[in-house]
Amino acid sequence: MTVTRAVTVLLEDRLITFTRAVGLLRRRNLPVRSLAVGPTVTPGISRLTIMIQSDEATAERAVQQLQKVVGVRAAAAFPARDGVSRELALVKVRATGERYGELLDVVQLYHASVVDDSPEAIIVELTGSEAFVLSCIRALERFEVLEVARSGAVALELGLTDAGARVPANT
Amino acid sequence: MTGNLAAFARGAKVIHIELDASEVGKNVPVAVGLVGDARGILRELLEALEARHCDAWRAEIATFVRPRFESFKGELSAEGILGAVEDASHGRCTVVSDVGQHQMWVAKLFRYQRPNTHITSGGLGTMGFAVPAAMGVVMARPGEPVWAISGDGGFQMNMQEIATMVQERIPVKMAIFNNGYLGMVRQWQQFFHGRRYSSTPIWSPDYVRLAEAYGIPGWRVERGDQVEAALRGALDHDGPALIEFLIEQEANVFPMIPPGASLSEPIESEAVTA
Amino acid sequence: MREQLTGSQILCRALLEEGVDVLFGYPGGAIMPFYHALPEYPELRHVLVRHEQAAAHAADGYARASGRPGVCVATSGPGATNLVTGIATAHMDNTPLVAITGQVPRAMIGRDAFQETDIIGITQPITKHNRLVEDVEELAEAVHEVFTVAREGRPGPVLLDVPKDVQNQKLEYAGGANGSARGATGRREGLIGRPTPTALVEAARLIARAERPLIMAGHGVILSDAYDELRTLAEHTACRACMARYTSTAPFNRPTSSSVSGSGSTTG
Repeated sequence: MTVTRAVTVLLEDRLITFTRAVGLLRRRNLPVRSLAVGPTVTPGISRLTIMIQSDEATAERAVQQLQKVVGVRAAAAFPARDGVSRELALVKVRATGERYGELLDVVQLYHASVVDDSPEAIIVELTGSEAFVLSCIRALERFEVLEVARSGAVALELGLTDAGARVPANT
Repeated sequence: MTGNLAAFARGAKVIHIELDASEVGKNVPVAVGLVGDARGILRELLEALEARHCDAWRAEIATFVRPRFESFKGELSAEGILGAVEDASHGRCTVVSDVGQHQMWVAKLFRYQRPNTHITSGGLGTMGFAVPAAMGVVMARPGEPVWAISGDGGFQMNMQEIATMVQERIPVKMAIFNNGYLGMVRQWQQFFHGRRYSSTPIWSPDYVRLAEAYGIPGWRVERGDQVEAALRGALDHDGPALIEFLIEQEANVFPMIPPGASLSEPIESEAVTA
Repeated sequence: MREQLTGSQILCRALLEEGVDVLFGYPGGAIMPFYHALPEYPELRHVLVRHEQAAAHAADGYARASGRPGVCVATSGPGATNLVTGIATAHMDNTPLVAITGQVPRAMIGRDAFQETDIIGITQPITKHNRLVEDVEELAEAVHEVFTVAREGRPGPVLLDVPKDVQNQKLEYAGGANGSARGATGRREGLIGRPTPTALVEAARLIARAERPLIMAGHGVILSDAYDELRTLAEHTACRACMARYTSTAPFNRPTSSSVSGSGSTTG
């Protein structure tokens, strides 16, 4: 069944290794929705999170192929609903005097916050699931959104499993 | 190898023995995947199986094997040439083929006696592979004849390596199946493009004189009765040697799988044209 | 014994430690220091080709015929790019090919220097692994890493890119193959898996009940040297063993064999 899945990759924190892993996604035509990469608590190791739209077999194959890349320490995949996925967005909105109160109401509704309060434009910060973030951006669109920066999603699987411990399936 | 994937082995249950887990089920859905080293797995399977007879199936298979005569006209045929090559080396040789029609003939007609004695670019299908690859094969298997068999197209791609063979004393025996065409493409143009031979007729230099320019012996074979002498001469010569076979210009390879078709819909002969 | 060696000499020594006895190559500016050191190691026979593509194909043919990694050498830029077709050929057929290319000096990388190309980027999709050597201190270990990757599991081509100044750098070299991949990668040794007992039982069951069994045998049989087991399996199960294109895995003259699947096969 085709659903949103998170593929998490722990890899050496070097551009060449990152290029190899991402190059693999391109070559295998994987249906990527978003990518996010950042450091981990282990020095020299980064975490790459890829949200894809696929069936289980495709995701498993992607994991096995990623594990073959020199520099990749571990890779795992899980359906998004079996974990928690979140992204961050910064939204720059024009600050118009009369509607400022209305704008703040929307910000509050989405548990977002105003992180910059310049006279012409404010910057709103929010975090949430992809759906939540999209909904907030749509709501803010009535106030003239000037620019949006979204981070892409990171995700963790529920329960005791972790990306570093996953061993490849051996049918 | 599978032809049209959707129609491949429909109704069959596939057991895939594979070293690389990420390959199982990649192109063909499998019933059972056995991941690991082939030899170990085969041994374990053999322990789990009992010997059985399947005479009905064996008999059915026997009806599939039809002798096919390649469409060379006259006495010079692919079977004849390749049979003579095998006889001349008493089955102890390695064949390196290039890419194209001759590659098909070499794959199906040569009577291989030992495993891993046909080396060819099966995956990428790189023309120009045979002549240089044969040099590497000679270095790995000194003391047995190594044949580089190419078409006239592929041969011209890396024929400059004859100089390497001479300078480094690498005794490759080269055979050129010269039909004046990029044969495989020409065959497709015949069957699927109304015989429009666009950019497939290809000119060659005089290969015997080319051999002479490189200081190696060369033979030109135009008739079946010339084959054995040329092979003998090439094998007896201590060093690289070249034989040009002038084969039937519009010879075709069968069976042929049309583009996008499945393995069960091959074109079997000239009589069927698109 | 420790001695002051250049990167080129260390490269030659590391190749010998990997059991290399022949190289196919073509010299040029960025690989000159290596060629300067090469005659000091007569056990490394060098075959001078006429086009780098031929060096790659020759190394590929050597590997297919011997079962050991084949090595080709080229200079930077056009020398390296001329290897690409040969590397892609080896990639598709899973041959252990080791390509060594010279590269412009480290300070010049990324500045469009004379005869510079990003061969690491160019060959990434067609190599199992590739690596730019950043300092003479990691050179020997890099050689052993790429050889290990080329050989292990499903074999494949690898490329080592060595900047000219690294070839000239000096180091006190103690020698000795460590034979293992770079420690920091944490690669699992022994990547070869094993089938589960359930899967084996199920496979045996399917075979026993099959009315028209057919074996398609390919490169794995060659890699694993499993010809006898294949023949026995074919005979025991009354299967027809059909060789995948061009692999000549089963002897022609047995009733259980037919050659080739796909275009050009002997049976329909």
